[in-house]
Amino acid sequence: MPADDAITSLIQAGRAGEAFDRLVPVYRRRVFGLAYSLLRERAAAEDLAQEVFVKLWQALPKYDGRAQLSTWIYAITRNAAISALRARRRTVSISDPAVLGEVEAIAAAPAAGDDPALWRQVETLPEKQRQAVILYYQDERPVEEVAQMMGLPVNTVKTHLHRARASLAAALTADDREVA
Amino acid sequence: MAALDARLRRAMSGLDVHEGFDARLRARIAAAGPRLEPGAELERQRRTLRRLRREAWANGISVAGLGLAAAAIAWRFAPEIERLAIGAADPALVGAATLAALAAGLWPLLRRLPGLRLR
Repeated sequence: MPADDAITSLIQAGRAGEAFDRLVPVYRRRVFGLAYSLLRERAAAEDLAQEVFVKLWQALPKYDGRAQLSTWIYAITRNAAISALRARRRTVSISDPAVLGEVEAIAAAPAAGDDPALWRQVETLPEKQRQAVILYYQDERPVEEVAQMMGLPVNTVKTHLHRARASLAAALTADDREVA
Repeated sequence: MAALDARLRRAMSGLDVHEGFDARLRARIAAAGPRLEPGAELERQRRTLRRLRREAWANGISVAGLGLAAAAIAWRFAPEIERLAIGAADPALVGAATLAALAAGLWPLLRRLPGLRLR
């Protein structure tokens, strides 16, 4: 990404503050999208995105340019999301199962008000397929970038996308038939 | 498939942070305190390393002292220990006690073995 080169140059010139100001608008939606695709809850994803940017603000002067800036940022986001999911699971294990069922249903509710039928089907997809669909369609990103965000090979992401599309098409057609 | 693609694009395009995200982020950063610059981070790591080295020396001297004290006691009471070991009614009991003492001595090493998962 050309923006990454400019940001990296600023960091290397010791202007981390300026680099951070440029980085936030470039990565805000991407970090949020990745966090949402993993956490499946809008408020939690936004909170995680904030946490990631605070981490980036603290760590930016230490970024040495060995890995691509985007790869570094996505790895930090994925790790933070995994920690959040672990913490969520720990909380879940000590709570009432009846209450948990409701909480999980709320957490898995569609993020956007648009097309609840589609979101319901997206939520039933296996984790990686759901993640690939969200990241790919959020901004019509190239598959290569989605692969980088997910930390997976490009062909694997293509397979996830292909399977997800096929499942969604079948499920939505069945839904339409039921309505008719 | 084209219709599905369009539907997915429409649904996912709404996925974005709420308004005021940047303002909240600025407030969070202000609350997080000053950033650790690379020089300061390096100095902090050096200080930690120096402290750990000092502690390692102190611990090493303590362990050596305890070992010497134990050896001196064993040397001083060697005849009594020998008598006790040879004259013990149950040699298995002596063996078990020796093993227990060894295990207790080696406990700090044993608990670090990855396969054992000891606490």
